[in-house]
Amino acid sequence: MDLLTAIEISARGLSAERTRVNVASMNIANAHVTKTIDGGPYRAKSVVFEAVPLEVEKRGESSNSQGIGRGKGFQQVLDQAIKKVEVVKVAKVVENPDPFKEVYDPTHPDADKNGMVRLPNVNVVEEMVDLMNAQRAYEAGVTAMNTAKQMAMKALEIGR
Amino acid sequence: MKGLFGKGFDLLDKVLAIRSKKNAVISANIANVDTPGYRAKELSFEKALNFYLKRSKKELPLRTTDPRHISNQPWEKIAQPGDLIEESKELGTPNNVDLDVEMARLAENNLQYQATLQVLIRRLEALKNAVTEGGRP
Repeated sequence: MDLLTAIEISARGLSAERTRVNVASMNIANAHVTKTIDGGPYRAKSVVFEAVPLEVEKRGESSNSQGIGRGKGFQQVLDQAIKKVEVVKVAKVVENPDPFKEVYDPTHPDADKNGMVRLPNVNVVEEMVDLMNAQRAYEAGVTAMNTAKQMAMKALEIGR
Repeated sequence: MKGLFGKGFDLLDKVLAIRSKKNAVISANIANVDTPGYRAKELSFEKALNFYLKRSKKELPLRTTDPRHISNQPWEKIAQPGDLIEESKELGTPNNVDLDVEMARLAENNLQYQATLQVLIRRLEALKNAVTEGGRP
């Protein structure tokens, strides 16, 4: 059922975008954190997406009623074609290697002997832009999913 | 299919199958809107349906008992996995998915699907009408 495949593809996209929103939110929330478990200030993180082929279960090949003599059915040809479709996946979350911001604040408990405090390398403006981008992509994904749902619902009206 | 359901039903069925596949391909493009290096894909409806129509013209397919046998079904040669789906070649940053184009295609495909479905429903209704002798009790 391909409308359900479409919904699944959209769902993967939505979950990837949600990860991006989560990471951007995490960066903003930690924009002033100077102590982490690893020691040192917080490092901004970003999400890396990758496209992976969609595993379509090989339906029809084992239960092929037409057999080899009749050649491939049209549905099977379509099923093979659709194997080229790729879905989005979160490959990894990488740390931003940029240097930390340094601010002179001798009263800060984490200040070094020169009175400099190292603050996270989070650029709040960039994070906000990323957040908005992710939101728009999420909305587009929701629209795609709704369309597939609408088509499936409409198909249920056959013979009603 | 002969008898009660003519060839038209078969065709409508295939059109709906292609439309729903096309929907999946467009959804994948939209899902990958932020994936670096992704190439937008397109399933050409005309091409896919053309394969089907060319094939259905051949009434008697040659019997093949081995995949290396010659087939008289022309679309089989072309129908390698993914041949129906075209990948655009141009590069973009981070990829070449144009969200507006994809959304427009999505809407268009949806409308075409619904239109085809309406035709199918009407046909079934007409058939039902005939079977029940115009709704005579």
